[in-house]
Amino acid sequence: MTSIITGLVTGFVGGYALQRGGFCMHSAFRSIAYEKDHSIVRAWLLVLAINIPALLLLEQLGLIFPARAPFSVLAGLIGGVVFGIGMVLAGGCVSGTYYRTSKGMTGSLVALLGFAAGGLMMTQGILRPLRSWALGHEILIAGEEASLYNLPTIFASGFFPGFGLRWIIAGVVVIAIAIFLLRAPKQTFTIGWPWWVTGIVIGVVAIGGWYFSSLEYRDYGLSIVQPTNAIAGWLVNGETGGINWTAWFLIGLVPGAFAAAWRGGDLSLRVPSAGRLLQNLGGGILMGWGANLAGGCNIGHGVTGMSVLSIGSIWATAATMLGVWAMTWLVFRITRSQAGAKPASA
Amino acid sequence: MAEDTFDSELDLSGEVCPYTLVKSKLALEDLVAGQVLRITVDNNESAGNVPKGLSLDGHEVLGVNREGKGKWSITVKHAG
Repeated sequence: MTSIITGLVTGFVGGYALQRGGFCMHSAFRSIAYEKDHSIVRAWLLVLAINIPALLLLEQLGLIFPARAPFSVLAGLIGGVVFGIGMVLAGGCVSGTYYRTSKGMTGSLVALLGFAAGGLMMTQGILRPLRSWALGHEILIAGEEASLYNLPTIFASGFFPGFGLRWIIAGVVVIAIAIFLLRAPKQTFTIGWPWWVTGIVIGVVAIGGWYFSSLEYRDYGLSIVQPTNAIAGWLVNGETGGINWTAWFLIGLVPGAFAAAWRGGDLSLRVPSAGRLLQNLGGGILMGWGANLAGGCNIGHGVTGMSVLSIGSIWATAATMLGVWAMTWLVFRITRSQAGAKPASA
Repeated sequence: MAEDTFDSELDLSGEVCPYTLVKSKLALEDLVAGQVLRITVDNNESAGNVPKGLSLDGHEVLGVNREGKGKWSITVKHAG
């Protein structure tokens, strides 16, 4: 019961923050390569800068026991790239698709249905053998899941980094992020929360994800892929085995995002063209395949996994960015050639 | 005053990023320095991202107005 309440409340706050902060990681990834405004990248990095030391402290205090996603070169690369391509076509990342659905954007709802269907295909359906094969090639460091924390073991066999060295590694990463954040230009044309408010609130929500999950002996933090599969599986097969804290978080997220959209005056039913809806559906399916092959999405890898410096998560997130950049480049080219083919309208 | 007069109009209802910014940039390319484009978008994220992106490209954003429920207009002057 506690798990249901903390899940719903944390989800509500998380959904509210995603919506008010416009925390779309698809936009963040795209902006790194193509745009001059990096506000959402800053919000994301702030989430990491808050979580990295906080989670290390919770681990040292024995309150959480972080697991890391498996580092599989092929699964991370192929899954990440496919996920990134899907995001561009779906018009948002997975969390973005949830909060946009909550404000009445039907394109995102269609993408979400595609995402759930793609996830079921990869985890329980015809694509399952591909996933099993790819995940069978996990790379471990000294018998443990690979992370920047146990990376020194590669250079000195038998040496296992204690908390002292772990704090130095975490410190270097956090200082590098802090230098970038402190050089942020003044944010203009802001609708909703400034990047740093969004980063702080989502950062605290993410810490809550680890802590509350740990209370039910689940050694991972926020995730969207796993509960989406669990809820979809429950609706399709009637199995409730996968329903855990993250599922309640996800269920709480929707009304939270709805409330934020209502407060922000951005709540209305929007229907794009049929062509765009089909594109969103295809993008959603690709996202479902990719995220489930890579073992996580922009939240499970990009926020949760990266906060415990998991190499598998850093790898999958980098591959996702690659997919986003390649597909965005293609979209730029196609849109430009279509615009060039039409007679000038102005 | 400048917000009420424009040389060209672009309705991006039903579009999300990156299409909103890409199409806005393309529409501005058709204009010459000093001309004004009025863009309509249907979500607040695009209402933030489009003026931000165009402004960083050097164009002058004259105004961002909420026209009604789920409707925003952005007026921008081509900087040349």
